[in-house]
Amino acid sequence: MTTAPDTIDAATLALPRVPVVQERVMSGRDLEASEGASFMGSRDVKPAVREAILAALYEERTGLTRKRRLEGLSPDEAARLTETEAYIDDWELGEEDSAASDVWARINAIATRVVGISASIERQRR
Amino acid sequence: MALAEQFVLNVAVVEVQYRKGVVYLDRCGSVMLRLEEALGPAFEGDVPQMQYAELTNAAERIALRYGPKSFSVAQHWVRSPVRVEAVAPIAWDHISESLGVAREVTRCGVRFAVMWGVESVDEAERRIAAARLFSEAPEWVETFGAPKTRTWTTTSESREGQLTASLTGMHTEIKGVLAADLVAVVPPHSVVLQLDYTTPGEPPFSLHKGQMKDFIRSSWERAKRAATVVRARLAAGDV
Repeated sequence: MTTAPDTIDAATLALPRVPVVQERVMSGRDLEASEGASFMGSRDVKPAVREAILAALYEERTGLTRKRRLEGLSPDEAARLTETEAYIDDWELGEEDSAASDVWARINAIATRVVGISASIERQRR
Repeated sequence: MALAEQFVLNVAVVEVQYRKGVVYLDRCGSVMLRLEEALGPAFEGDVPQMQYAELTNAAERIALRYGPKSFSVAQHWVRSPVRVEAVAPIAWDHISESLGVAREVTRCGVRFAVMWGVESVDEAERRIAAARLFSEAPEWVETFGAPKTRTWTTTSESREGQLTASLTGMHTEIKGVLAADLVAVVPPHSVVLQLDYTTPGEPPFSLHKGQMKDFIRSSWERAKRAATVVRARLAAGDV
């Protein structure tokens, strides 16, 4: 049987950008400190990036749905398709949230301008 | 508080170790350009180091590394590893070809850290003890005292490869502002089932992208089945 190393290279999990401390209850000390990729503001995504992610996901889904139509899917592939669709839903929902926050940003900008104009009129009156 | 119905993956990571990858030192930059082209604008390359080069996708919390000895793709805080499953084989195709290591693989593994949120670390410990998936012998208690906390780890081997499984309680502290979409996802206290699967085979062996994709999926399907069994035991005392 295999004689390869038993564990994942420690460097693989040492992704220090993110300040996440995870303590195993076992010892009360930080046994797995600073594990994790950067995830601050994860939904604050540039439109081009969001589009690219969704395009890659759609491509994956299209490949699987085409295969389902032509030759059928194995149980593993069917599970992959279901999970891909769930992941897509999550990103599309994020897109709606993002669009909604754009609308709010525009409303806020308009409101700010209205307040600014009112203040200006008030100053001119005085 | 009841045990969370849904789990979240603290991490899903696939890693390949290989030999004869020292050509990385010559081709690291060109590989990075190929990967950026293949994976799209969500992935941004960082300044390479001697030990590894890295591309990160902050939006999806993915980090991809390659170097003279290993390649890995890790994603944090997701419900399934479906994106790792799509990204890793594409990246491996480019890396293995550019470094000439497709037939020099010494280990291919995938790790899933499945987390269920609980109210406190004490609750995590109570559930692990009550599940009785393992228990200590009376001699252990006589010698070391009754355990306050328990962490179990086992390694098994089958035709499908090697599996290291561990069960433990976990406290997670985010030292910063957690993104809004993660507030409901990241449990401060949890029970963690960590599963490390490796492919069978005498190293060095060949690994192609289709094999990698199948391996990640089949391991994940096994992991989901295992998680269902373990969760049922952890929730056994709930009304």
